[in-house]
Amino acid sequence: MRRLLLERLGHLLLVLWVVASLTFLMFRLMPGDPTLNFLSPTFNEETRAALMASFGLDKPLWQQYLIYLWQLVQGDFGMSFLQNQPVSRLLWDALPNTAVLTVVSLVLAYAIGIVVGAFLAFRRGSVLEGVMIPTALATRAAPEFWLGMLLLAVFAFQFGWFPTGGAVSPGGSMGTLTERLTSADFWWHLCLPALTLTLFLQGLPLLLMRATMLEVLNDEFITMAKMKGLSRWSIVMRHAARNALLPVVTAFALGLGASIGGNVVIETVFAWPGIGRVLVGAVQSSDYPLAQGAFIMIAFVLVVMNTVADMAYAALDPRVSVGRRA
Amino acid sequence: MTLLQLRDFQVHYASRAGIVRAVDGVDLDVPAGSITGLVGESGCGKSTLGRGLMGVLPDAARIAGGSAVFEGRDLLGLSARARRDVRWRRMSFIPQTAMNALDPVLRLRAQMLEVLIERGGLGRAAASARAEELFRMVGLDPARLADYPHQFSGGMRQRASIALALALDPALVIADEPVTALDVIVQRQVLDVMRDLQARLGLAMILVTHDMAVVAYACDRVAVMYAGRIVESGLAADVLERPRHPYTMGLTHAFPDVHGGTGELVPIDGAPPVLINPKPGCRFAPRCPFAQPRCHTETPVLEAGVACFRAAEAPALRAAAALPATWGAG
Repeated sequence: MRRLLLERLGHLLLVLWVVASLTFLMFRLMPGDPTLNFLSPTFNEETRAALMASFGLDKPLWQQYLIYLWQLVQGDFGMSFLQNQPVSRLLWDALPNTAVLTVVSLVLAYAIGIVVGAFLAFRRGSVLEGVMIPTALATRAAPEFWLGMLLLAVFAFQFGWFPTGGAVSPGGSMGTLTERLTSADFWWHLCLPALTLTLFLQGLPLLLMRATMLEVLNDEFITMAKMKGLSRWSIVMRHAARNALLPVVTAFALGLGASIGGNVVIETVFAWPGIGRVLVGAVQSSDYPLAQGAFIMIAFVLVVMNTVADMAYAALDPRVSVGRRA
Repeated sequence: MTLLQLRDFQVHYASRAGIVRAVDGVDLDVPAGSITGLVGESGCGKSTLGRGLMGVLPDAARIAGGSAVFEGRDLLGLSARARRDVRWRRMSFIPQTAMNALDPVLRLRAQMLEVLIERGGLGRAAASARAEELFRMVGLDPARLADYPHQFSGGMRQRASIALALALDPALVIADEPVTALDVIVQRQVLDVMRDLQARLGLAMILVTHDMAVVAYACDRVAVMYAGRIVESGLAADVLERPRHPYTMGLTHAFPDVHGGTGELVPIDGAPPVLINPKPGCRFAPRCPFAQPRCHTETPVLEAGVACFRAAEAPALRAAAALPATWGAG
């Protein structure tokens, strides 16, 4: 296990370095001069040069790259062009909101998906299955923004049960993370975006769980468990579900990584102040350092969660770590 | 003493084309304390019979009739609860493919303890001690209880399956092709373990196999199955030496080394009949070199251990069956 861990950490660092380098090059190879968006044309040449120097843009590219890497290692993403704040601070403020939204939705979606999927595997061919599978598929296939707007229209505008957007009520302040997590207002604002994301995410674990469960239930060791006269609970939980869960766990970790960056749509629809919304804002206003930071942050989370998925699989399935015991 | 007595035992499969009579009226007596071989070619219903006795069949299959009196009670008349009580405690099973028969994500210890605790009612410590004892009995190092199935060789997995089957001291063990997936040397080792434990524990065992050599090596008694029915049964030595049913005669020539002889192997031409709406008459008649008009219209019943109209002429038929030309070989 330890060798596997070190190996995966090595991969992780390599991938992150490649991502960071590509991001660096991408932003510098893009056509147009980023400073044009930032500097007013009324500035004279001197002011312009001074500002360029303050961002280190007067140095040769390789020097910029080394400085960039060194600062990245220290967690310094530079200054935002527009908000005049360190990028890391802006991202750090947005990350917990995205994380809460993602984790809550993902856990709900997987809990529902696993239970319903396993249940449907048992009721194969029933009327219930005929209703549930198309429903799960339809909510999975519906565009996120459409689902979100529908829920907004019904539950926020029509009935007024939930707020229409944001993470705090007007006049309220965001406060620290603990203040947010303990305030009912924050959770109330979370309901609709989390519901939308849950509905959007539940299809994959549900169908995956059902499919693997059906496969596992045909395995000889399930027949043997029945022959042993074991209780239905032992057969389903200890043998069938445990084996069927393996691919679902992997999907969960990957889903966590993908959702952190993929919540752009939902965060925009519900004006949820997360990473996705920061990214959209940064791109729209050509705030290059901020966009660059958001990209790297999203890539970082994705790569880390991939590694976690790998490790989880090895921990759950003894066959994956075969060959290192002997 | 007869431990298990089957009369007109039937298992049917529902299929698109109709009802498949996989086991179609089997009569079989299994005495206590002996190994009964159940032999026949693929698809003759021998595995279905074994699984039907355990009461665990695929969804499409069902026990369609007959009786199965085990330890004085008809299994088919029992409630689901009483039926489950019999499973593994009185009657256990050694599967064909030990690879998938063991749960891949649980250590052997967990799989042993599960049975010993949930079905055997033992405490954790007693169950642990019993698991180690069982591993020693089948010739496995108790330390390997900490391993996962994929860390075992095929022979070791089969030994572990035997240990599991013996966990609750059953009276009858049904072994479904227990050595088929193993190479010949390991086959012999596993058969030795099974025979030794069977004698030591006084078990009755039904050994399902397609291999006459396995029957000759390990079984006291044998029942030959063809197309869902028993065509011949008796003491293994008698049946193998002096087969009275033409199908058994064919089988003994189709496998090497039963008599230790060097005779060439002679296959039986043709294939078993489809068991959807089978025709009347002896089911082996279409492949039988000795069939008479009557064999195609009337169904012979199992009498004195053989189901053949020409059983009385067996010595003459055996002499003819020894010639490859009889089976259309050439």
